[in-house]
Amino acid sequence: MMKIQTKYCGEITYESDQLLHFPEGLFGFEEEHTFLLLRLEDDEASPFCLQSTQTPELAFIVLDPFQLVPDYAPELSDADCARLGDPTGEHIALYAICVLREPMNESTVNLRCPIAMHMETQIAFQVMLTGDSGYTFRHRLSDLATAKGDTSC
Amino acid sequence: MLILQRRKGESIQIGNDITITVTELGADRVRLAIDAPRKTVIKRTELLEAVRMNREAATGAPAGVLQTLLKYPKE
Repeated sequence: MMKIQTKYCGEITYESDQLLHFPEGLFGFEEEHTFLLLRLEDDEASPFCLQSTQTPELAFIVLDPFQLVPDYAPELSDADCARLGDPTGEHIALYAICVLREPMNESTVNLRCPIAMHMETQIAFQVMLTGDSGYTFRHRLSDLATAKGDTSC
Repeated sequence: MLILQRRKGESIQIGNDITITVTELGADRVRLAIDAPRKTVIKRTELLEAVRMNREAATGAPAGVLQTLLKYPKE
């Protein structure tokens, strides 16, 4: 069991089998190879925090893109599928990185570069979809979802 | 901006030591061969944007905005 100070979730303990492995890191963070995917709240639909285990102050807020765009259908390249280990569709999990800004309606989500993870091996890559995919680096969250108001947390 | 027309197998030279050759033409993509000094940084433009987005995402979420995000629709 290991202990780490996280950026958004305080101090936590984790087991090594919870680690997600990013052989190539993330774009711009190529040296960061291990992360934890933590729910920000104890709720199945909660956004996640992708926390580096190498750098405590490095964490990303990531969302399930299908919650934002139910028909999200990124087409992974053959090369991406191969380096993921050719998982079948049901073994691929996708996550989208958010840029949260004040005010909230300036916040965006990157649907062009989702994180694709093989759920069985927990090996993940941030992939680059093609320009004609229709997905961009900055979709406004406010265009994709409407705040519910007083949802209890 | 300079716009040139090139056929498959033709190339352009940038400065004294960078040569870009069109090696393959497809319906909506071309394959380029780039001959440049080892120290030249060559990146796909969209990769720079991806790096920029990740860097910005890593600077952190304003606390109030994070609270709002947690209230977004949950299915």
